[in-house]
Amino acid sequence: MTAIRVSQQSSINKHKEEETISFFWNNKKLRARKGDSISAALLANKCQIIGRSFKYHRARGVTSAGVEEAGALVTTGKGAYTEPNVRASTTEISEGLFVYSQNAWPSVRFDMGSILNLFGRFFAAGFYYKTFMGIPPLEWGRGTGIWMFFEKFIRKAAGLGTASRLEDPDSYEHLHTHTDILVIGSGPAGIQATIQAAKTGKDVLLVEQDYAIGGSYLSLLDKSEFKKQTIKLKKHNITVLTRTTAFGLYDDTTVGLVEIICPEERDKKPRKPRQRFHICRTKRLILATGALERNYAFSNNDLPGIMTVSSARTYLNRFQLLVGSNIVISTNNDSAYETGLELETAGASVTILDSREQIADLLLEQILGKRINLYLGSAVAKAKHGVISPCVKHIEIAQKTNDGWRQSGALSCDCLLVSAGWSPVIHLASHQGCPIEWNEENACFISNGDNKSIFFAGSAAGIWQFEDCIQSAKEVAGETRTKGQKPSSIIGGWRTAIAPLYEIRVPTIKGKAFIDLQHDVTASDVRLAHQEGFISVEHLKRYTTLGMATDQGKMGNVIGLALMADALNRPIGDVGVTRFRPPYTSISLGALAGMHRQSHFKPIRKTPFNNWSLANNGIMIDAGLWHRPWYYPKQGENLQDAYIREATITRRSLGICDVSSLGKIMVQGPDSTTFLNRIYTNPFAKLAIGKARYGIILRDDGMVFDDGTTWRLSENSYLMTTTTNHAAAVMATLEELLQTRWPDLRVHVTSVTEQWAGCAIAGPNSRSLLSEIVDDPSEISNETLPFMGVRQVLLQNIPCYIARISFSGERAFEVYIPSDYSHTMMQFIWNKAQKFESCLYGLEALGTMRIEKGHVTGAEIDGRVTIEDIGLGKMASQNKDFVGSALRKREMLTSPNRPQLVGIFPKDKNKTFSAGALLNEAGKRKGHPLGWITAVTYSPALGHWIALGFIEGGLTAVEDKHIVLSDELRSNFLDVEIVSPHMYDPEGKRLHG
Amino acid sequence: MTQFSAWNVIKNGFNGQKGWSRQWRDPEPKANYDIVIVGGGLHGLATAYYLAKNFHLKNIAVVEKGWIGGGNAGRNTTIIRSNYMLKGNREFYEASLTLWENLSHELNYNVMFSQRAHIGLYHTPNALDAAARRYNIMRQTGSDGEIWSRNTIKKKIPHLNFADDARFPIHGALVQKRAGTARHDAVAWGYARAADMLGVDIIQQCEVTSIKRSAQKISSLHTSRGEITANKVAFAVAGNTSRLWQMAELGNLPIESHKLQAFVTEPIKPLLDHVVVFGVAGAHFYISQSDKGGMVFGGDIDWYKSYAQKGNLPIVQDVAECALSLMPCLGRVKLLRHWSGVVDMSMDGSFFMCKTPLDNLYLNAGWNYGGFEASPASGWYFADLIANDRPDKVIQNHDLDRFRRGVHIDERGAGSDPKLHG
Amino acid sequence: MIQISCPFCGKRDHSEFSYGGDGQINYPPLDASEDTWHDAVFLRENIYGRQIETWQHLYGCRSWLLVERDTRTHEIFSVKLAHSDWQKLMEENR
Repeated sequence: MTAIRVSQQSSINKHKEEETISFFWNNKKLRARKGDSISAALLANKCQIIGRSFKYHRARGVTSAGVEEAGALVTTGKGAYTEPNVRASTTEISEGLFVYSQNAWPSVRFDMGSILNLFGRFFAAGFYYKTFMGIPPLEWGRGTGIWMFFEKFIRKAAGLGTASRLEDPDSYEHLHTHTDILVIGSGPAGIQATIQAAKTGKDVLLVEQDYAIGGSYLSLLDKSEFKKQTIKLKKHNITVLTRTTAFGLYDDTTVGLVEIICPEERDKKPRKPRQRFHICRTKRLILATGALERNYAFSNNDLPGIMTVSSARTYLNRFQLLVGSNIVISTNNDSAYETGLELETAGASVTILDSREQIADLLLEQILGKRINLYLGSAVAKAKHGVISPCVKHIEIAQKTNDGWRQSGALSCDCLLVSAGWSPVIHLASHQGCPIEWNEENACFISNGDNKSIFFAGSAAGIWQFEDCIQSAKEVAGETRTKGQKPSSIIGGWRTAIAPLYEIRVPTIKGKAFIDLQHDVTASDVRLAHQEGFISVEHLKRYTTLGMATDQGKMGNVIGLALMADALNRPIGDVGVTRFRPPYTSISLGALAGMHRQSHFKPIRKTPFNNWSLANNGIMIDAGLWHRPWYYPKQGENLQDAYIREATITRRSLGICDVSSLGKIMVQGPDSTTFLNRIYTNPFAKLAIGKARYGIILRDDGMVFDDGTTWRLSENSYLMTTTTNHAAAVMATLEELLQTRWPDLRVHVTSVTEQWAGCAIAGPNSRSLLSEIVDDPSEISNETLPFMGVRQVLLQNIPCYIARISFSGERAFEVYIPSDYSHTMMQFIWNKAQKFESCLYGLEALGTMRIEKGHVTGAEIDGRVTIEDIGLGKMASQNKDFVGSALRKREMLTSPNRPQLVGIFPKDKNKTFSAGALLNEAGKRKGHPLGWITAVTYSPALGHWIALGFIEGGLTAVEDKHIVLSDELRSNFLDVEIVSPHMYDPEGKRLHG
Repeated sequence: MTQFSAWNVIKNGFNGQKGWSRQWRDPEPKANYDIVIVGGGLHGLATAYYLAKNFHLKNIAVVEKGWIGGGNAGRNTTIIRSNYMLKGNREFYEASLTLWENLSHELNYNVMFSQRAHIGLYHTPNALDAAARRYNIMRQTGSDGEIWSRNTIKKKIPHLNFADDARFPIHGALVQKRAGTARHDAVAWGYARAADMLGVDIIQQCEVTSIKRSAQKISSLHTSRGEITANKVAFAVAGNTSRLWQMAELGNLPIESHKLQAFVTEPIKPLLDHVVVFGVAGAHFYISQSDKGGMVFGGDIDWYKSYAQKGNLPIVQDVAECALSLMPCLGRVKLLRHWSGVVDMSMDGSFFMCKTPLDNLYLNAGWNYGGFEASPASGWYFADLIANDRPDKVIQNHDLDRFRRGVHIDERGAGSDPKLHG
Repeated sequence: MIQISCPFCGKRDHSEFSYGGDGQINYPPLDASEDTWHDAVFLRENIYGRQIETWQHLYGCRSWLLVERDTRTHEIFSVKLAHSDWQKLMEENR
């Protein structure tokens, strides 16, 4: 096949004729016309071998001009811009584009991999399930080693293009779109439907996957009608998105669209995104998605130079490319004739083989007097390549007889066009499970949408005649149809009925007949699948990999199904159809991810003190979505130096810590007290105004959910604090309880986490500092603000809350400042703190002090512990019912053998250990451990490493046992002493006073 | 039945593949079986195989409403791992991994189990603390596990996200080297073929339409292919367990059906040799590359209950974001296909394998995310339960009554909300 | 994308909402027996078809809703406020 440019017959694109651009094919500079697809450009440059197939590495050329392309797959771009597996048939060429062949070495013309083709007889469907598991030939051995040896080679041979290892440098955008009517496909039916819908005053969006609108109009010789329609379209001022694939239909007619931004536009404005992902919600969806022409299975039907009839027409009329000079057409339907005529007019000699023995007079009249040979009752049975060229050079003809097909002659040709019927594009309707039926008469699957919001128009509905297509478009867009009414336009409509054609098999002719050109699935693979019992569509697909390639079986699935039906001797409709899955055509992951990459992957939550902390040398750490201060190193300090210093100074004098990320919820209303009393395990009914209480919340199942202090601010108003981790979940749970279970309670909850910046001021000098900063120091004396007291006070005339609560175990206060004042207020406090030996402390020192005190956090409250497990059983009231109180008493939850919270010291005080280490009885280092470590720290107060953890039965159960710590992951084994979790100041003396 | 081997592959290459026969028969259902297993997925087929193999039982049928392996067997991301830490789960999944390691030989069917290692990334020191306990328990109970530093990961998988502006920088990983992936369909077919060779009847297109029972026993199953009586009946129909359970008028189960999506890209030349998993700040993602070259990945369930095998966009976006966040080079790689399966999500994220209120009915259900890797052990222990009419010690707490006793086998600590056990 | 018509905010994507659970469960009073609570917390009807379920309009008005939805198709038939009094008020003012 040698394609040549022909002179312009249509005037529409004439002015563009001179516009040529250059591109690179395997690094060789070639020229193309602007508007060419990569396929067209390659054909025009006489490049016929474009790729290699997946399994046998057979030569692949252009097989189509559309999304069904199975041969012309290329890689475009270089370096980080590399895009593998690009369909050459639907991608426009642009100035300077790098195009590479793929899956071939050293070159696509001479590919060493094609040696596999010689061994093809051994690589039937499923052969790899039967071998490679052991040492050949009899699969000796055990384990996975031998398979993994073979697998290395298989993996290298598999795959198609090569992806870049570099970060994608381009950006992608997301758009949310709403419309009344979405029309997919801008062919005759799509344009008609759009215009019709616009006339009704509705909001219409028309999307087209190609880079030009027009659909099959573009393939017509006479473009006058198209011109007329585009003018109308412009008049209605309709939004038209080209290069936009409607890749999937989701619930409630939400359509996923991916729009490729025109490369030229991006050359001008490089910051434009590469692609846009539109999430389009439409009330009505009109699928004018057209139909795809099928080939059929015959020997060597994969040779370069073989393509569908309609694609030759597209190359001729859209790209002015005559795909051959000596063309054979093999068809079973009327649609091929017009193309035959046009090819002949363009200068080719044409032979039509029609598998039907009779055709309509009208068709015969059309070709009368033209250089067209017609063989009725005939079809191509085998294609043959040249002596050197792998492209089609000859064909063998089969003639229909009473008992099947027989070999009947040969022809030479330089191009073979095939049309074995049409498959309407019904994929999107299938995504949502709309019924699909096999239409025997038209030899295709047809869907009617859902008759509510999903409709078909044109050939996507299985309508073949132009006028009928237009009519169907008017009906679905004008909404003249009532619910459930079938379209009045005629499905089918051939002049001569289509004669099903899926395979030509002649006993005297050998050779592979492909049904999936990309994955090299052959007709005999289908028969082997049948022979081995893989007769359902799902099994066939999975066993042979039919339809699993990048084209997802757009062409081959129906043929495979037909061959299976034949093997089963059942109608095709009975064999079934697999549900199509999104996306209709492949879409880049970049588009789906949009802007949510790298630092924008997830939002960062910053506390109001964030910038202040950073300015004061704070090192941040991720805590869920939050950035929290981890430690504040002085010059030369590492993490450990810093936290030891911070904890030491805090215990000795004064430390300040950002605690703003704690959840803060206002609980207000006359029934607030009742509500809190049901939520918390401990009594809240008698909490005095101006007092705080530490509380535990359980889940319904009786396990510990969260903890925190709740402050009574007034009679009917509380401020609840939660852990950072569970803030959102606690809030949602409170709302759920109030709205679904206890609607009678007059309580309102409001999240105020963002409204308040919180800082802990801890250490013996904390009150001294406070008296420096509050406007009226008498409000914070030990009497006015005793332990667990809460007060609203003025700081610099700003109302703030001070609560005397302590997580560190020191005399401590939490100061809540309106967020807007946080920065200046913190600067003010910190300036005052300079009077004392003081420090800022981060999460690590906070952890150190809480471990010393045996206070629990998320490391211990891991969703699997009871209130008793964490040593707080006394906080579960016996006198009231609360959330979780019924189920927390179940047998295994009250067993004394449950792991319970303990403290752990190394016997040798110089030793260190890590969280996640296990606790075993000495000599029993196999099997499940007795316990584990949840948190470790060096304790400045105690002068050695300490840990919190759980051990079965708790402290009392192991008192006389020799416990060892085992950390196999980090090869650390040492003797430990199990102690009370309250390792520092167990009486809590430092809190008071 | 022709033995699968290189020898026979070559032999059949020469004789036009004539020597291969059906991989399993297509028998008409008999009126009576000793044991009928409802559900021709991996678990049902494996159970049938081990009943025949380990207990030499003969008169067994697997009835499947569609085609074997057509449910979650063919809808998962094919990951096999045993990084479970709680009693019962630990032993069970370890046994499963051990069976996997020799499964191709056991079944004479290449299930392509490739031990390409499971890399569980962590992004904060705290995350290491939590995971270290799990992997230490694995080590102490006869499995493998190790820590990889950021540098080690960088050397082994250089194109993961080591950028300075990564939202969650990689600190390190907990690794199970024996973990990996297998060819999911092959497992179903391999078990079917092997069970069939031992005389098990695999009956496809046979839907149970109603169940006849007395107060204590199931007496017969009405199916689309006639009535079948059985001495023992076993359910292994994850995704649809509640429907069958209610057909037998047994009330409610601690199970909800949710849908889980899976994704595959177009095939590309080898890019990722390992299974990489990450979970941080609400994100959850796992990815590997199939032998065909497609990047196979998945994330969370769709959060709402569903029996529809169709996915939805928010999760599609979620996983794409995770994919790019983990491997920024995937931006120009294209998604080829996404689909979804219906999974039994249980109240503590762990499965049920137990006797039931009916004397001759056995239940295998509630597999959450862990059904694929569980398949061999599921068959092994379920066969043992059915044959001996008592649970092995390993599965003794995987009964329906465990919540009454206060036993929660909750690997995630997420509590009694099925959607949170992803 | 499922579209849920929030009674306060109008039709919105389901990604603005969070799925709660089975809306048919009648959570017993806090003093009910362990068995009653067990059944409510651990057992599910797991309906194949139309079910009442709870959703919260998390990124909207934060209302908890009772949604009637088909678990086979995701089709929604009705949306109500879970808070019975609010729902009543809503209906009265319609």
